[in-house]
Amino acid sequence: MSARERFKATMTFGEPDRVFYMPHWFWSTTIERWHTEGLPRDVHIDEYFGFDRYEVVPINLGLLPPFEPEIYYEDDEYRIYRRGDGQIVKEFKRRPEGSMPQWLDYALKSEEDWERYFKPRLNPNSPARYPLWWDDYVRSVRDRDYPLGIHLGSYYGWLRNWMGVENLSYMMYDNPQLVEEMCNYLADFVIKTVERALEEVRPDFALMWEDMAMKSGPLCSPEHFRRFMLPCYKKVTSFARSYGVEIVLLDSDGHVDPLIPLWLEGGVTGVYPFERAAGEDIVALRKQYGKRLVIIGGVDKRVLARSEEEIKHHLLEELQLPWMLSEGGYVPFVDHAVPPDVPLKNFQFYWDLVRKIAEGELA
Amino acid sequence: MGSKDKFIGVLRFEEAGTLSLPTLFWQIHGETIRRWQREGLPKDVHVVAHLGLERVELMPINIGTLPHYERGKLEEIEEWRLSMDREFKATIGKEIEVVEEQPPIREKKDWEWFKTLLNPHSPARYPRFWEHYKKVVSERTYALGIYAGSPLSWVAEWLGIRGFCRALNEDKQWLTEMIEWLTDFVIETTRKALIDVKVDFAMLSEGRAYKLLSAVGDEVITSLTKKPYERLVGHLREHGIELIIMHAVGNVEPLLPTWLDVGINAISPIQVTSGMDVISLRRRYGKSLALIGGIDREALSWSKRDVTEEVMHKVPQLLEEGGYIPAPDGVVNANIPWENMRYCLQLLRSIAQV
Repeated sequence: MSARERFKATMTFGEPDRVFYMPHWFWSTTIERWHTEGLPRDVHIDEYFGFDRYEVVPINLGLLPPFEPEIYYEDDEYRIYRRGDGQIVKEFKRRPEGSMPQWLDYALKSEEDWERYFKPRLNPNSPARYPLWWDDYVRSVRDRDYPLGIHLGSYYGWLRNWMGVENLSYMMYDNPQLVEEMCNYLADFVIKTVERALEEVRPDFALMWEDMAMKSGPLCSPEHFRRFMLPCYKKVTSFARSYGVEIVLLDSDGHVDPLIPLWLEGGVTGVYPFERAAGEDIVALRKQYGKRLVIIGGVDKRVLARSEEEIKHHLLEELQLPWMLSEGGYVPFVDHAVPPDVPLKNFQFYWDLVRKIAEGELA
Repeated sequence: MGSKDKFIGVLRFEEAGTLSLPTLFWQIHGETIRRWQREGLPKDVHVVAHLGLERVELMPINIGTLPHYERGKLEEIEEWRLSMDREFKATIGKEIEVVEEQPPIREKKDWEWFKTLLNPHSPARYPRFWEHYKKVVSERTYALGIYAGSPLSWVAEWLGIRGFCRALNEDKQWLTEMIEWLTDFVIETTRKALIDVKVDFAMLSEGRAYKLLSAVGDEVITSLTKKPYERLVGHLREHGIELIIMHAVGNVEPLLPTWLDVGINAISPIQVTSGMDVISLRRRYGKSLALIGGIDREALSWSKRDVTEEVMHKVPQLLEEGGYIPAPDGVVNANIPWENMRYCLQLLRSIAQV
């Protein structure tokens, strides 16, 4: 079975020869640590661990051009600067990966900002949204044996990044018409941008990104999601479905449970990475949603830093991996990037165990 | 005519009067693009496509040190950080203050260690999905080349010019062995690629040749490199590659006879500021040497009249003769205005249409 066939079978509760091995995410400092623990330095990491191939059509759905980067202050310890999405952040210079920045300001505060600074940067016809040699790219993916995805955007996450959680939350009450307008504009922008790719490439699945929940729950109420974002979800997923894209996977950290029914209503078919630290319980979710929800993730990154016994207990008892795999529609995946407190031998133990279970070597 | 046919045809002297504008030889510095955007270049386009440059690429095979030999921290004393830059010069703190040259190879045991970074069979030398890659490029419409390394310049870089000269006096055999070993390394690394993919050209790069020329002279360089180059070029020819380009900055004219002798048949970027000149090279070498580059970047940074003079002095005649690709004599720097770049390309196109 090719990776493409395996992916489709996994994501539609079909009968893959084995589960699709999703390439994991790693912090760069994790890889640095593992190099000191025996990971060869001259290999492709994904190949080394035997992950399957999947790719996403390289279409740029971001602000184009991005805001000019500008440094406002810096000393030996940190810098304050403007990012490409207009955020002004204070960030440690030496270990930006190891800590969150402090968000100081945002570029989108008003209708005027939206019209003046954002809409002109969201032109679906900008030539650089597509790869430089697009026709050749189309040719190169025509007879692919791996799954190819397409991004369908973000209807909370992007606005939150441009405005901040507080500002967006206030705006939902103070100027709901503008929030609606922005969401609708984004949906139309995404549809116009990806239409050519959908037509010419015929992707196998779609991705969406939100990161719209914290440890205890979503960053906006389900009611607000229903009002502002859900119509956009329905619009873009049905548009993609008209081109044969039936698999729609959504990425959001945090405790997302209250949003899952809405996402499913919006055309999403699978969610990742289900953070254990935010109380996500993939076994309960499988029981609750059955075959309506593909689950990717749920493996607690914190457990991978502990002993082999604890990892084994986590996979076999807490996650009931053999049962989850036998039910289908589940992809083992760590609940975010593997952090540098995880030793290489632990990750290898975890991944070997997953493979043994998936490949029927463990009774 | 597609970009592949144009590029190859021109360099084989088969397409006189044809203009090829290959991306590989019109490299543009990021700072230049930012300047041009301030001067009118749209910010949401691919610059290469906007300028109408044509796709010419090298295969993504990594024949460098793997893992990459990185700037290493030597020692940290309070706020002073002693480190090495890309040129392997030790520096202190933020100021670029050369303390002493600290090349990574100072004696034979260093070289033995360095060789571990040069395993031709390291998996990451090739794209992960090589089978797919080779299938995709087998149906390409653009010219695809292979980088065939820098055997001489690598040794000069890793030993430092001073170390190179010292080794030359004390143990020339060691230098020869290193260059031979690196040649074998390139041959071994590229073998599979050349069997699997029929490429259109090969490119060697000797970025330090001109520095060595002034330090040790062309005869020494020839004695060190002629045999390895012959083997390398023989390997490339064995796999059907006829066009072999030497990319070497600085004035490398004294080395051209040797390079031609071993089978190299094209040169770039022909740096004007170091005294190279496309017209005199053509007079001297005729059709035995195809020329790429030779447009003075300084002239492109001045007035349109200077651009006209520079282009019209060289391009019409050489384009008519064939075997010439007009291109800047190095990376397009930020001192070149957007208007001049547009004008230069417009002028080149108008010459080709006459």
